[in-house]
Amino acid sequence: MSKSGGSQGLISTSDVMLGLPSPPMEEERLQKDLARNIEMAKKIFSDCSDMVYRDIQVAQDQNAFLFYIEGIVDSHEIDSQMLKPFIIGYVENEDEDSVESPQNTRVSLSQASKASTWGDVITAVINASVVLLMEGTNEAHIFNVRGGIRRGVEEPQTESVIRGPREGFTETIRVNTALIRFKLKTPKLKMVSFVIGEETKTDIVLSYIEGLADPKQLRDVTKRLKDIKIDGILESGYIEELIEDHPYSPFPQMQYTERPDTVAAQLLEGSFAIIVDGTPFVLIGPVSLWQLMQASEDYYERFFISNFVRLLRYVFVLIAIFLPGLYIAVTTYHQDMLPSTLILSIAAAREAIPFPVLVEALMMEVAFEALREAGIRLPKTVGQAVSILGALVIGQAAVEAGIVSAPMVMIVSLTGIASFTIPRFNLAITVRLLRFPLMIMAGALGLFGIVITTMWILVHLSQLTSFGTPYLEGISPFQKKDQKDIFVRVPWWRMIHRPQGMAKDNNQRIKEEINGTPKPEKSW
Amino acid sequence: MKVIMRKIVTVTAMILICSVLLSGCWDRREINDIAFVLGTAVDKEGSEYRTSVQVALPGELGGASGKGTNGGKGWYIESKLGKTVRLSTSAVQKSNSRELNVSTRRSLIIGEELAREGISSMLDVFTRIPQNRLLSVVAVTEGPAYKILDTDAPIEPYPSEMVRELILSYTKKPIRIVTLLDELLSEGIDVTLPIVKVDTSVPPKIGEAVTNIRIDGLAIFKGDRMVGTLKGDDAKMIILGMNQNENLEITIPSPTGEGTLEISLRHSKVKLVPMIQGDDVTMRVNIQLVGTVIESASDFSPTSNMGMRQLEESTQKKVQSDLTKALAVLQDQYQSDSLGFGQTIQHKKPKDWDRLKSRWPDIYPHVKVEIAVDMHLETVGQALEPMGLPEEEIIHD
Repeated sequence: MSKSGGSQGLISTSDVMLGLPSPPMEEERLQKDLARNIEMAKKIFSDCSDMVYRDIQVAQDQNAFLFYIEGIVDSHEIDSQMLKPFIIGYVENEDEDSVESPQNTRVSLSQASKASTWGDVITAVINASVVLLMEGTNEAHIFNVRGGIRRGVEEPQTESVIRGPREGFTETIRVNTALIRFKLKTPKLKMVSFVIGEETKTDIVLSYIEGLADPKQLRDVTKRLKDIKIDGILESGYIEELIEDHPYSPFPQMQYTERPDTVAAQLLEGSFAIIVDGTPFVLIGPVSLWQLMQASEDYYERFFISNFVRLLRYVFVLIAIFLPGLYIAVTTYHQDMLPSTLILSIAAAREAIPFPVLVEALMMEVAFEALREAGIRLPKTVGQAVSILGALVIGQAAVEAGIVSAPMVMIVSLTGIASFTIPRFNLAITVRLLRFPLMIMAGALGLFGIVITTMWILVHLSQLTSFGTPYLEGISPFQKKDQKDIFVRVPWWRMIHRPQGMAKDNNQRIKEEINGTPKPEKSW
Repeated sequence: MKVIMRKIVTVTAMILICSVLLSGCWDRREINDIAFVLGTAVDKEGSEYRTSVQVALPGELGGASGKGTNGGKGWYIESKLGKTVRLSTSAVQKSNSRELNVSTRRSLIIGEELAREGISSMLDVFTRIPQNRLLSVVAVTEGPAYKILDTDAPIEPYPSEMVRELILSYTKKPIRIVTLLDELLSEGIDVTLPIVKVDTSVPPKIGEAVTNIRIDGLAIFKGDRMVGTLKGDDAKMIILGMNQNENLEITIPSPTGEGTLEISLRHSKVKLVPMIQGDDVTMRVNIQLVGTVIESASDFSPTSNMGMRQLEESTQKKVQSDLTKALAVLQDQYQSDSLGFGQTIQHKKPKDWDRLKSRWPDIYPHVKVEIAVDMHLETVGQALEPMGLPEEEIIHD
């Protein structure tokens, strides 16, 4: 390629004037002329104030040029591992051959490579590498000195446990993959890499355990990921919405988590995980409704406690969905369903209330949702105060003013608490949403309306799939072996099989079947 | 094409939503539009029925909002006449802005005049509408029934509730509409209903008396007609005989001859054993009692087994004689088979019952009754010896 042709094809003057150079073609090669290369690099990254350029001499008469983006690289590393060897090497180096042989032999950095096109150079620079251009070569040396300050491994904010690991994912994808690798020390744990996003070039890793995850499903996911054409991926939520089976369903079809142990557990059950750079939330799929009702602590506490808590959770999910609707239906249509004393105290409380029950309920539920939302968005210190004050003052004051009845305040707060017992926030939101159609139908048709809406939800759930796996897997289609971990959690020594719908080829979790209970040797 | 499809979908959705949201609400009844009937009293006045309903005033009833402190009653009574019970109830409804809801009815009170004329025909209206609760308790009054509803009954929120509570603790298996119907329709047993009566809390001379309700014996029915009443000990004994005793207290003379002792019989079990020879029917009434001493107004100290046995024996004698006397009233005076002798024969000796069934009303007064009481005195209470008497005056057994 000729020099002039290269420069003409690269950047037009008007683009430089605008400060918006169009990126060069990927195939555009580097020149042997260092000055031209420097000019080129400075054009590409014009108006990028975070770029660092430096001229150095790597050998006698051999000029070199170093550039990188400040902040995303480890500058200490550059100083001690790159610059020092060069400068010392310049003094010691007598060998003329070293012009052609890469200087990186003396650079004590583990990740180093070469690039000959501008496309590769750009990719390297924006991915936190240092690029070294040398006089007389048309190849750039690339040293990976990824660094920069990002949040360290901390306790997950959204999924805290009493018993269980305290580490959570961070925004750095390599830290996240490492956290999973710490748990699953097997070469069967695969990490397939993708880069999605025209502008963000977000690193995405599809992780699974070979031999456990369904290859057909993996092919499907890979295809869906590759089909994504979007300018940017800033959070795993983008991916979730772009690849889920039923985009119009209110039910979440992927689970997200901040906990490496949750990911590891799901991978061991034959699921796959999608790790997205820049967010601590890792996606897991496929999921079933039951999986979204399980907290990681269910498996860490002794099974009596786990079973009790899980049962409690299911009861409260039903409360969260049905209680306001039932209250509306019973108080507007089926007063004779309640015991006399109960209906009389409700009647006494409602005597002075100006609104119909439905209006009252909608008002309070919406107010509650607003309070919840405000509590999240406000700074932590203020948020807490707002939620407490809001709940207390608005509830109490509304009752005393005779706008809202006391039983309604109770129903709304109980429903609110019930929805917070759902361990997965996305399912909790769904449940809270479904409450509203139920309430309206209960207000219009009474219990009949509740039955109709429930049927609609059930029919929807039974036809829902997550990456081809039925959403109610275990109950519909019914799997006898899966009953151990849906409504109950059997002790670990009875968890012999993996879930039937997944890990079909390698279903045995406990290889040597324990007969009955474990029998430790007694020595006393 | 696409536009038309979209239009069709939109119109269909609109029709569906409208039909759900608009058609649904036609039978919507807010709680504020309902009058809760707490209790009903039915009387007969001449040829007409008087239905009195006790309606809750939820605003005054108290409840969560902390109202009802203005001293007002939490209920009011509305009473109307009509040719049937239903017509009189309709008359009540007509003068009430809220719809009457009878699912909260706690008790049904029947006036004496109506009870004596027969209760079968009026019971229909209390069972036909599904809203009615068959678990409402039933009681009879001497005189007009609506007076019961108009008492103060300050301990309960409303008098009808008090009637219910009283009746629930009066017998083991309280008489509700469903049990009443069952007994009315069963062969070989006659209905008995508790009598409720207006009472005053304190004698009129001292302070402000409030009116209260108490149970005052049993109304004895023959068929569906009330034929008479049993009061005091007779009523208690018949309840014991019916195996319905909840807590019977009887007074026995002290074995020493001075003063009396009070025995509380908390547990009792009655078994009827029929013995039939031709038309000669003998009914053996086996009674097992467990009791405790609750008062000793005597100088007797039952500190040994002997002493307790003495008390047991006198209790047995007392129960035996009292029950015999009460049964005699039933058999001779009212000829009402309240204990269900006929039913016992039907259950235990069905062949004999088929033979005797048609003549049972004639046979019943002549049934011989043998009463066997087995009393077990469990404890004499916290104190062994009569408290309040010096040691020298106490007579040990």
